[in-house]
Amino acid sequence: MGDGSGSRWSRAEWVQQYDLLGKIGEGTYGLVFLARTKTPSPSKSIAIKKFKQSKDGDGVSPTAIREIMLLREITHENVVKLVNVHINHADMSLYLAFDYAEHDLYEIIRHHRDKLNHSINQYTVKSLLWQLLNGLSYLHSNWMIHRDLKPSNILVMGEGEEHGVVKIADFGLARIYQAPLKPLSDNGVVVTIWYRAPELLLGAKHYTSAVDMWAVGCIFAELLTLKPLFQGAEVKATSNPFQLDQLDKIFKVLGHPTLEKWPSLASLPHWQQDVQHIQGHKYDNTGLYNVVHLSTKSPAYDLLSKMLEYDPRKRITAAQALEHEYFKIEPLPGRNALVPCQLGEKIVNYPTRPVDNTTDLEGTTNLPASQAVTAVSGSMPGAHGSNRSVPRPMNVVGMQRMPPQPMAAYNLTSQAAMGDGMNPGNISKQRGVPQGHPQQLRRKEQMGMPGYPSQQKSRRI
Amino acid sequence: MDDLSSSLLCQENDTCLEEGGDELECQLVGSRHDCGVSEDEYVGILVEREIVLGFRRDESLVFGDWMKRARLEAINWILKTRATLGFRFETAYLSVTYFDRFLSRRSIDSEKWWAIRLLSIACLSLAAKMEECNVPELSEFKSEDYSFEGKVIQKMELLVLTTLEWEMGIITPFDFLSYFITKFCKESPPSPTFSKTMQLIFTTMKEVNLMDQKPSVIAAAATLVAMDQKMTMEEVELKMSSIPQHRLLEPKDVLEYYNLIQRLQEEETKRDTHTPIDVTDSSRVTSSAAMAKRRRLTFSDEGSSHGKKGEG
Repeated sequence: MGDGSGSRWSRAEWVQQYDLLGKIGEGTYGLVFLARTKTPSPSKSIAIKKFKQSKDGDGVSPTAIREIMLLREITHENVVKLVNVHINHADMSLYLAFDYAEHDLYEIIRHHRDKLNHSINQYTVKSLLWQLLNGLSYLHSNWMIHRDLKPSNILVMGEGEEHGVVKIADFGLARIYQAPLKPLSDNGVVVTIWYRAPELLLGAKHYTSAVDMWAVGCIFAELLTLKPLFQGAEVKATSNPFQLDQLDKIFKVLGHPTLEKWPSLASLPHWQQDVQHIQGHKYDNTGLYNVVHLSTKSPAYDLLSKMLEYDPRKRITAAQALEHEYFKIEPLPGRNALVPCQLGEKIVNYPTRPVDNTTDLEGTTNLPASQAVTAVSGSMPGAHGSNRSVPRPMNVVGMQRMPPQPMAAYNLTSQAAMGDGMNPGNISKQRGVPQGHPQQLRRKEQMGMPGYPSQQKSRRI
Repeated sequence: MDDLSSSLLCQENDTCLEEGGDELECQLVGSRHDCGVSEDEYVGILVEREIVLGFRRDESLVFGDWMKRARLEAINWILKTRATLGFRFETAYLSVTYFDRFLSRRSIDSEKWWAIRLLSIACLSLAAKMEECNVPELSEFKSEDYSFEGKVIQKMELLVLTTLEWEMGIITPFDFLSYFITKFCKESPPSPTFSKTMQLIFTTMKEVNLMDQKPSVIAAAATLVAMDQKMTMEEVELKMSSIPQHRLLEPKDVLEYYNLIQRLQEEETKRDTHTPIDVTDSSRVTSSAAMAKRRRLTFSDEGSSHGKKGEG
């Protein structure tokens, strides 16, 4: 598919920048592809995320706007950095280009559990956690809540200059604090409930940065045990259903929350509504230490239990967690989480990400040449079973060596994006409009705005 | 003006600026405290961000007569549609910010009224996507005189997004209002201050390009006018010094804007006695006839005489 022959993709200017290698992931928001830049040399691996088309008549998806808006301002070693935004004007689909990260915590944990059959070494666990907190602390101090942290969203760079560096990804659900909140289900988004904070499960309407810290606690435990900490069965329903089983799993480990320890509990909708199940059921406190096999006196246990504090107001913040004793004792966390500084530790070779090279940028499965079909714009016929398809969101990544200033960095990329995205000729050609009727508003330098005659249904004067 | 004023008053509870409006689930104060940042620090961050966002007058960018009329027409349409679709006032204001920002980077030919309308729709729709909990379909953004397909509007949205370099989280004066009102009025503020300030901000919005001045300056000046209309430079300085971040806010700018608001207010009062229409968002005339009249007028327009402005 790399050559894109026979597809109109070969005509889209921006596609020419890349050699497309194939699909690497499929998530709630669309598909993710692996590509390599043709220039400059040496070429770089890039993950290209295609947003799912918004419903016809809705215009540009708010999720896409929000994610791009947030990503373009982010400059932190432990957070993905947007390299470019591309627009395919034929169907108005959006593509985000990120530097590629070879690994993610989902795969790393799975590899240890299913293949190696042994736990992740303490240096790696601590380094991964420290970098995750470091990125999160940056996000929180910039008024962003991620809202969907889970192992598959925590990426780790493969071999290269940034080997073993953690990158927080998938900002589809992230938000700036002030923006109005919508229930997650509004976007038709499926969010894993295993990492969801108890206040949300109990129906709290306000997200705070503490929801991310709960998720970090769950991920920390999973790194230690290789098993999801609270693996509740999800209730599937249209609008934000009450996830009793998930709460049940949490209470079994952490015990019953009490109004004493968590005063605002009384005001949470589900706590009040479901007295019978939630308040009535008695739980024996299994003990978190039993589940994660840690001594209650160990700093690791102390940190974990502070992340899993029921009351979001009392829950440890990312900034506080970074200062925790756990990170000050040996082994100290390092930049390359995958390769321990100490000798004697075995280096694990994690598998590289499988690439499905039968799917093109539009998400259309490429059939043998004789059966090749023209892609229908916006369709998402899945190549779901074609190769391997572990549905994982946005397996993309961060950015190396970006210019130090966020604005400068963005300007570079946005110029590039505008360059190909806003080519008036491109539009008119793709829309099949007669020549001589430029369709685009022109850049100021070009003066004037000739109009959109063919795009207007009617124009009464 | 009265209509806008009463409309603002009765809408005030819905704006959730004052009380946090739990139905809209907007969380202004809570989360800030949750991540350990005080109101003062937060405003400090906003003020610094404003500088990055580049709100300053571009002397080379002068809207011609046509563009001035087109802008007013766009604002009136936005205000009317805001009311129809039940959006918050902040959403309307934000969309005008997008509109002005767009026109500071690209120009629209004289007489292209439909392009102005299309731009207005795209800006309002984008602002709604950023601010509103319930965003209607594009087809809801009806316009009596023009009809655009969803795809055309989407294309325009994309053009606005790329022109604004996806910088959609633009700061507005409303981000500062409750803070300034509390700071400026040591005692509890007289209750109409909030709506009076909102009203002043909307009045000036029609006359002044929103790119020209920092939202914090607009907010401070409007709040001061709402409280006291006869302030001297010293008094303005004194008030401003109650803001911990006052070093970043030029009292001179605030005073200048303070005077500007009062002048515009006077002008409007005078105008209102003659033509009590066209200013409010409910009683405005937006018939096709009015449009046609305007369109004819544009033939005598001297053409687009907008200056150029670089991307920076």
